Amino acid sequence: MKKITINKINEDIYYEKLDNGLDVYLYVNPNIQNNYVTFTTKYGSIYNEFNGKKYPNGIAHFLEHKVFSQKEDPQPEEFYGMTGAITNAYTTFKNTTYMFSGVNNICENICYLLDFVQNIYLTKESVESEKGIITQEINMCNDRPGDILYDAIRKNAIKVNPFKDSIIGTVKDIKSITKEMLEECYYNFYHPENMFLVVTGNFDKDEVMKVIKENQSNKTFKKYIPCKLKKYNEPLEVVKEKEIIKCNTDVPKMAYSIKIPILDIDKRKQSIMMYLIFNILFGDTSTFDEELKKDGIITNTLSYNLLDIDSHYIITLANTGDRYEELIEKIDNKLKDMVITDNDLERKKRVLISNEVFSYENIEMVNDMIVDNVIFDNTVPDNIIEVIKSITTKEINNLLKKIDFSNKSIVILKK
Amino acid sequence: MKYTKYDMNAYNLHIINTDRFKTITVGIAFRRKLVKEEITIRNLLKDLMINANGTYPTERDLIIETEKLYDLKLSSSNYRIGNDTIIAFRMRFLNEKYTEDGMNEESIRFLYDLIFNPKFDSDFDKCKNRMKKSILSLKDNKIRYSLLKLLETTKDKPYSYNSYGEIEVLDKISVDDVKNYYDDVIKNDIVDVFVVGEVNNDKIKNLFRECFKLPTYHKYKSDIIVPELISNGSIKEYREKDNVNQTQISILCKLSKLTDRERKYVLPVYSEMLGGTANSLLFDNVREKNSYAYYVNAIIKSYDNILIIYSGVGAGNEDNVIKIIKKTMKDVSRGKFSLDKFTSAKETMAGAIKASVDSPMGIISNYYASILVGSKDVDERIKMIGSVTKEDIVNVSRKIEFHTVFILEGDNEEDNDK
Repeated sequence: MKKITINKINEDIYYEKLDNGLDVYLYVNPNIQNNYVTFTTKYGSIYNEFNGKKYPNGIAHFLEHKVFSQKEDPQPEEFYGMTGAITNAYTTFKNTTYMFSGVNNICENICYLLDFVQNIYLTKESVESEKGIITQEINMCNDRPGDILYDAIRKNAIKVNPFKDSIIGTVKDIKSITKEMLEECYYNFYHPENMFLVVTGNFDKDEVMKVIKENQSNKTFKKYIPCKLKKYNEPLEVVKEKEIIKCNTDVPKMAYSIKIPILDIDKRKQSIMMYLIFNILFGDTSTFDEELKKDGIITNTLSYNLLDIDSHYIITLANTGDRYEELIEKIDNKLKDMVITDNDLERKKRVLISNEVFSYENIEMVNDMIVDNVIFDNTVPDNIIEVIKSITTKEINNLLKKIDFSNKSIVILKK
Repeated sequence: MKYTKYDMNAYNLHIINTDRFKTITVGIAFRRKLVKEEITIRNLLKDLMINANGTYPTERDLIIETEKLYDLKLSSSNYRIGNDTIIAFRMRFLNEKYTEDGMNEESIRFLYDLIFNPKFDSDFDKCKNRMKKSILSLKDNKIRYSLLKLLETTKDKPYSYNSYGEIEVLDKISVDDVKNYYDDVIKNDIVDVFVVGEVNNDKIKNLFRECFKLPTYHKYKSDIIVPELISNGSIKEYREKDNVNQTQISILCKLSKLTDRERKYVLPVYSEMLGGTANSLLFDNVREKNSYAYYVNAIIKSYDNILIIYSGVGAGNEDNVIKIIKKTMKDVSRGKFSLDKFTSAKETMAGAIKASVDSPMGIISNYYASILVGSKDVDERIKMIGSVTKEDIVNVSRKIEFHTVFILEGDNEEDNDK
């Protein structure tokens, strides 16, 4: 087992790559009761065209639902329920993650997690009956203005990359999914070489590692052949510069997205710098925010979101309120005049560093952090505090000069 | 973990000393009996108090100060339990062991300013508009909106009021109204202060004694339990049309003549088994066996004497789903449920109680619940959950009665498959 010590905050994460290729990460907090364990495949909604074949949108999420069905009872919810644990799963653009959390029986519960995810049982009937459930999940999302806005932003900013499509798919997509398609996706992506396990909680790390190894060495897997993922050549242009969408909501919602190419510098640092830039200039401690609130153009601070689609960042500032046209003009102007001062930067760096310490108080946050990092580039960096500390105003202001922030796409939702 | 309670005359200071956390958490609760007319102003007050104050006169100044205090986390909320309403201020900051000496005291002094040195006039209109927008946005969440409309039908019950407030009332509130209401809260609310973390008890106590001074202490005899609903005879059904893809079913059940044990232990187990998790009876019957819904849940409001069930279903399926829900509940009342489901419900609850001490807020909730409703400590509660029998479940299910159904449905059904 390799120990990764997070510099400056002295937290230890243990890591080992098993013989079958599975990556295992362990984080122990001896002061708590609960355990939170995730098992992730690096397979999400964007990988729906591989080995020359295109699959319907939403298939990764559909598969997530079906991995939960076992041939024989107990079903996963029932198994975990017996010891008071709960289980769940979620699908994102780049990964599908299965989890449980519970106080007791950690070793048995981990083995069960490995077993149920590494085993699929599908019938034509069970695939068909799942379609009704997912249709209701889609309808639920379509009744939420926030979800509609988020989908519209990507659709209007991204031309060819599958990040443009919703993770869940449309009802039409779902209807076209078959048992065979699900099996093909499962066997291509649910291989130990393409998966990792993250155990966070209060447990004996050596015992847990031993149990995981035993469980894995008892199983055989076919040789892993990474599939050929389709590559996309995403252009810089957006699809639509502005769209007003009619929507059942009483307060209009506006999203201002900027599409910029990702520069050839450390990507982790780049995304932290983007966060710092937009937080300092548009966040709740900016003069921009204060003035617009004083004028009544906004009442809440703009929300910030950064989506990394590999070739580009889609940065979105969003807000609700009637005076969106004035807000758009203000953002246009501010983007032309962006400078970061030492004072603001040093304070925000202190905030980021404090938050690294805060996050270790919550095992779910630690677990999420590990998952995000592994999905990002297969590492858990030990120098995140140093990276934050190393950022200077000179560096940020140079970066600002290199980026053209005028490439925008605006979505407005209103009645 | 060591709990000490200090009588500070006008309020109680509860210190939970523990080295489990790298942070120190302070929670302050102001409590009084809920009055419908005060809901809006009370909500506005809790926003204004963490927006700015005499020392940090604008929202921006105040947030910059929290960042200088190593990103001290600050929030306020307003919630209700039974007949009582509570404003809760919460503050969490890194223990000075991980930052620099003197930060613990500086952070706690920051809190005194919030409570005792308020400034209502600087951002008054902004805070009002912000609140107005959140009331107007209620309908964006169809579940929340449906539950609100369902509960509204009970008229005079405290849970029938819109807890977000009323726009007509909000429009008329002046700065002076808020000042007067603030004075009244400081003077008349029951106050409890909680501190969780690795602290020096004497230092904390003396700090509070020096700066956190409340006027006279008013004893208020709290009667939290809301009177039972009156039976409708038959189930009342309300329908509303809207431009929605999914039909929302919301069901209100009346609970009657509960014992204290049923309220605290038996009914929560019942509700957990019926619709608490993905391992519940309703989840099995409505979703897994019939594919009617993506979610179906039961929530118990023990101190309101009500149980709520809700689900989002395809247009036209609402009657079938209601039938399944009724049948599921009837089966439970006849003892027709598996021992596995019953054991799981109890184990899940016990696990959640055990894990509650993993977070400072969970610890504060536990101690506050013991003040509000006399809830027992973690071990005792787990023991009591374990003691619930199948017979208890059957008996309590006879005290549950369908009362009202609210259905939010689409106005054009063809649109459903887009």
